[in-house]
Amino acid sequence: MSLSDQAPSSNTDDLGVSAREFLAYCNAERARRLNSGEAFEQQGFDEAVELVLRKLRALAEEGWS
Amino acid sequence: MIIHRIKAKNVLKYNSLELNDLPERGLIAITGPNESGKSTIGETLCFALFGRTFSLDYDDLEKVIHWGETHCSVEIDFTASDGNRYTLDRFLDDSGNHSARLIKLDAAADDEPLARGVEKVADLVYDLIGYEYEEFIESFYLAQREITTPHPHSYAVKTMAGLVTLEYSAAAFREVVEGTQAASDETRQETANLGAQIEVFELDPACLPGLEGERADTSSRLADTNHQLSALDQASIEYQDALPKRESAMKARGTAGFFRFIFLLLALICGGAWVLLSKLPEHQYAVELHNMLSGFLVGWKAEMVSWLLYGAGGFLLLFILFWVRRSSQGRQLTRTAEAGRELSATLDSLETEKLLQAVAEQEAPDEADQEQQNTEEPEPELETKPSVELVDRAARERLSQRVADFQADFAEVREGVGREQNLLRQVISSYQERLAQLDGAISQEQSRIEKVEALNAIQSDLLEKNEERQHYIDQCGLAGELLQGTMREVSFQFNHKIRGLVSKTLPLFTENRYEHLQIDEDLTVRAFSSEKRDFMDLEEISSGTQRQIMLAVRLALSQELVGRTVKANQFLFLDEPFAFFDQARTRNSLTVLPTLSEQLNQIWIIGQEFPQDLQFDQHIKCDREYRSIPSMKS
Repeated sequence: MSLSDQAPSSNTDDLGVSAREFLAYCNAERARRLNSGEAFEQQGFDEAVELVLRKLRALAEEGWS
Repeated sequence: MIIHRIKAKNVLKYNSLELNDLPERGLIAITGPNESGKSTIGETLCFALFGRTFSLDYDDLEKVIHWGETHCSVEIDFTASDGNRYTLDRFLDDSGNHSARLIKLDAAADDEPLARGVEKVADLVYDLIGYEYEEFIESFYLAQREITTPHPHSYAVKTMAGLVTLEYSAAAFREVVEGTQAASDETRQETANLGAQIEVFELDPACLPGLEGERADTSSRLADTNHQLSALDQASIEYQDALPKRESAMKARGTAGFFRFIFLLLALICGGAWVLLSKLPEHQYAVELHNMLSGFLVGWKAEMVSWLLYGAGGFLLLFILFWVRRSSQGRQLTRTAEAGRELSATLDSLETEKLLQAVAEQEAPDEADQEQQNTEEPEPELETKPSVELVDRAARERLSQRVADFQADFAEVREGVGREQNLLRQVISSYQERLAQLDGAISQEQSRIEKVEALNAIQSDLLEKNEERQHYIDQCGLAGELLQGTMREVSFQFNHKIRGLVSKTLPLFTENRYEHLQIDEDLTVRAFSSEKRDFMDLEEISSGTQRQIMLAVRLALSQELVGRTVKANQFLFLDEPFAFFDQARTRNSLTVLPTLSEQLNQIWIIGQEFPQDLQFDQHIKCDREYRSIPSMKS
């Protein structure tokens, strides 16, 4: 996987278990979509990932794992 | 979480229960016949931790109080996931008064409670141990009657699988999408309403430019007409000023011509007489002239002939003077003739017909405009309406010709020019009124445009907002899709782990008759039979084996929960898990249980009896007759 296939900068240190699992899935899914040969709106994908990560970070601060 | 001490009073079967110095590792066996209070120990532990028990509904919690007593209390010491030791005590009376207190056991501390009250204690206990009652009874606490397949949609299993947070987030995004979609629909409706309001204005983009163009045109014509009026007035004044001058000049010119002729004649006569008398004195005519002069002029002498020369010179001089005078008056006539030509040209250049025609056209808008005006505001009627018919072109041409020839007198000029000026003033008045109407129409149209622009701006804002909303909805939709994908993946991984964990215990529990489980996404369990070489539904398997399989699943779930959220040493409480096990399977299972996990290292296990040769780290023996259990060790 090249650097460009990586998800945008997301500090994983402050992420809970669910967020890390989500990020791992998204990284794999991102690479899959990039390599599928079909049209892939990378920026929208990354924005959606960041949206979920923000939510999961907030939940982690509330005590959700 | 490891239990070190349990002390209870009036809980269920026991008036007093006190278990001290419990081993942190190994097997803690609880044995005894039916109804000897074995399960009460587990229920007491459950009540102490969570304020409720597995066998009693929360609404019947008072039944946890020993029969005939008014209150109960329980106190446990435990090590939490943070490695610290705590004391949790709980009190309940038959009036429903329920209290709890959590104290951190620290030599340096003054034993001030960390939390007081049922809810605050529950919150802090969750923070310390990493799970709640629901997860507890689905994993670490196996009640006597509850070896079943875990409910696939239970909150506890989802928590163990790590799905709860993801599912909650997905639900939150769904909710956001629904809310945003509703707001978007509402905005779309507002946008449509605004569109309808804008259409009501029936704004014609060409209208305002047309009005402004017409205004500029009318303004230009008004300026031209004013100029024509001014020029006509000026030319008329100049003509009238020129009339007396011209008459005077003509008279003076005639007089000067007359005297010029007389003096020329006299100069010729005097000159001829002097030539005749001085150069040809002998000539007959000279003699006759001399005699005539002598007869008419007393004292005429021949020496006076030279006077004739002087007279001729004087008359010649006068002739020249009057010649100059006549020329001067001629120039004056030429100048006054210019005023006539100017007025004539001005009259000829008048475009009164065209101007009146234009005014008539302005006041006769097309039928569509007329209809619109009828439905809106009637255009004010002009008080005087000049028309082309009022123009007497022939009279104006005659006047022009007569003015050019300086034949028109004051009265004729005043009348003719006055008529033209009146027409021009009427045209000017029409133009001014039209300009006022156009200014009003332009102002009204600008006001309409401003209103439409304001509505358009609001509509644009709403559309832009909706575009942003749609983008957000798309993002949330994709976010939900990714969360669903993650949940599928996590669920798959969870099942995979559970299958892996189960595969370690299942052969031991079933004497290798069943080795693997197939756990579907919805946690439907099927077991692989080594004999039949095929997966079998639980219904096809004997009830004893079913319990063995589900015990393996429960142990796997416990391992997963420890690994995922507890991440510390954890006790396991199994209430008669081997009820349907034969001696060999029981022995095998008890041998393997302490080795399952490095963290599941305090294992409480209940049975009516266990093989005599098995050794336990602590053995608690119960009896139907006991109402209290003192501290004891095997």
